[in-house]
Amino acid sequence: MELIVFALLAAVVASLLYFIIGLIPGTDETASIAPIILLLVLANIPPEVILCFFMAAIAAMETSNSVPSAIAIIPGSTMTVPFLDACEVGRRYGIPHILLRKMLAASVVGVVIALPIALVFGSILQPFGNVIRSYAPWAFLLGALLIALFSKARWAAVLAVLPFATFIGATQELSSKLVGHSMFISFFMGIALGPMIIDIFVLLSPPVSRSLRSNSASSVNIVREGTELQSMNPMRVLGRRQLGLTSVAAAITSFFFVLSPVGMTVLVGGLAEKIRGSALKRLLDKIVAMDAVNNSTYIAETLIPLIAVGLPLSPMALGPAAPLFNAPPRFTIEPVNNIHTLLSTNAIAMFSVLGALVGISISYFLAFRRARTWCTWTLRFISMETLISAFVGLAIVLAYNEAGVVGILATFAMALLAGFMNRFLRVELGVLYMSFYASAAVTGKIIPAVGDFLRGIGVAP
Amino acid sequence: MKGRTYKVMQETVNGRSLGIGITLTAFFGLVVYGGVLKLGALLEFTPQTRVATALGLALITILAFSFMINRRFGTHREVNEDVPSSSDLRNVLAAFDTDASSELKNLKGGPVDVLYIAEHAGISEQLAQIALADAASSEAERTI
Repeated sequence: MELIVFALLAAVVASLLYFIIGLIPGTDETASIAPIILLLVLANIPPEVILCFFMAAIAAMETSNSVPSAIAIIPGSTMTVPFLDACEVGRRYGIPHILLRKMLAASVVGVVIALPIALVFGSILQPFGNVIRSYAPWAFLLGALLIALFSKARWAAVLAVLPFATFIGATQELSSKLVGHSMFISFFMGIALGPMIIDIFVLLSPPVSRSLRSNSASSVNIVREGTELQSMNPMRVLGRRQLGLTSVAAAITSFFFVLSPVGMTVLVGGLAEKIRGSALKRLLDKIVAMDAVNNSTYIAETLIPLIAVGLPLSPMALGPAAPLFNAPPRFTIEPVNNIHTLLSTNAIAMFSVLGALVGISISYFLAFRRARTWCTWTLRFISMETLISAFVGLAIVLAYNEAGVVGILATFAMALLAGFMNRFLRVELGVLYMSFYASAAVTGKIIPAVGDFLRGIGVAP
Repeated sequence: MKGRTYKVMQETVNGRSLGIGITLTAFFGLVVYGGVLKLGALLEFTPQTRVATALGLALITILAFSFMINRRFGTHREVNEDVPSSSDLRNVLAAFDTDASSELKNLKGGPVDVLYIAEHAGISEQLAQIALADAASSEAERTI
């Protein structure tokens, strides 16, 4: 009983904290959620509480990030970038407040539909867990190549997989010699904060930073919300047509848990837009479907791999949810010793549902009634410097905890490389995470096999 | 705050504030982490308790310094939230009525031309947008 109360309190704290973070423009889910979860894992907090905290955080953030998108046309987080075009059109229709309420209601539907599907589908896949685990390194390599192939960077990303995985493998060897063990947290944090760190380094280089100078503070225009009272029941807010659409979109996409959430959101938005109707109806269909998918993929991509295999085999599990799978020395994937093994399926289900429902309820209530007030307050009083300082400071402490000064240097080295690949080559972070996990297969199996083959045909000494 | 400001991550940040912020959070985070580990060893805490306490207190320190940075050095955004006067609203509604497009009135066609309304009513685009939200919401809700 005490554990449930503790988990409930953690969920409430996570909901409030990530509701506000979701309102701040430009925040990234991985960079803002993963460090806190890592810290909770390393601080020996019970796994039930960590899971509950995480589910509340993700449900709250993925709901509140709709607010700045709809009423200020700025992305609340990385996931809401695809929403902006539709939000801009909604604003020109003069209905951003209606759009926002529909988006919030779609978030609720996305979470409520994805939870049972993820729990049941994860349990169905559980008997195949051992088989999947035995092929894990290859699955990561295949995953990295597939995500790369379907990403924007396409061939640049595909060709980067092997060299990046080899670089990680070689650096792991080096870190074993320097600190006596391999590193995970330092590299993971480096990849997660890569885009942010590269932006900071760019400012330190006068020839590049000169072009980024700006003499005015960021200016945001906020449209007034409608003042009329409206039912908060998500089913009434959406209406029958949009309720059906969001439910179907959330349900179908939950099964494709290995695909990119952004990719699926864009795909579903494009399909929903093609359904016949007036321009306004098509716009609303598009935005509600995208928002529901945004939430459902996050829930499904965490829970299905967590229940079925205990390995981070989805872009979400490789990003914000990664510390639930791998946070050495407490949680490991070789051998699998994490929430998958520490909690029964029933316990995972119970604490996930508790966290997600607390997160979505708090966030929905706060955003629905006072979206403009919250958004204005956050935009006016929380500066970008604060967020960057907090996350970089946290990453430095976590890296130091893992490997001392070497850990901090490794984090920055990895952040520079990952940030460069992401910002300038547009290689998605999911590709880099997958390559990171595939590095064991690349350096342990592929490179020796290629060496043997070349020696066999007399090409190499 | 002195120092140059830059446009990064779609936001304006002050280079000097950012430098001070990262240095303070990282330095005091590490000091608290290291200090608590040492103190934990002296008090003969178990290694797990030591690390948990050190990380927890380091997190609290980092958050506390972040809030301090926010108050003292943060670059805050300008938020425009003008509320239109009743005469502005009347102007917008007049512009709304005189628009030739029937699609504009029943909100079934392309996007409403806010710029047209702003020009016609003689107010800013921002104000037209706000007023239009009020003017259109009841009709739009009936339509949707």
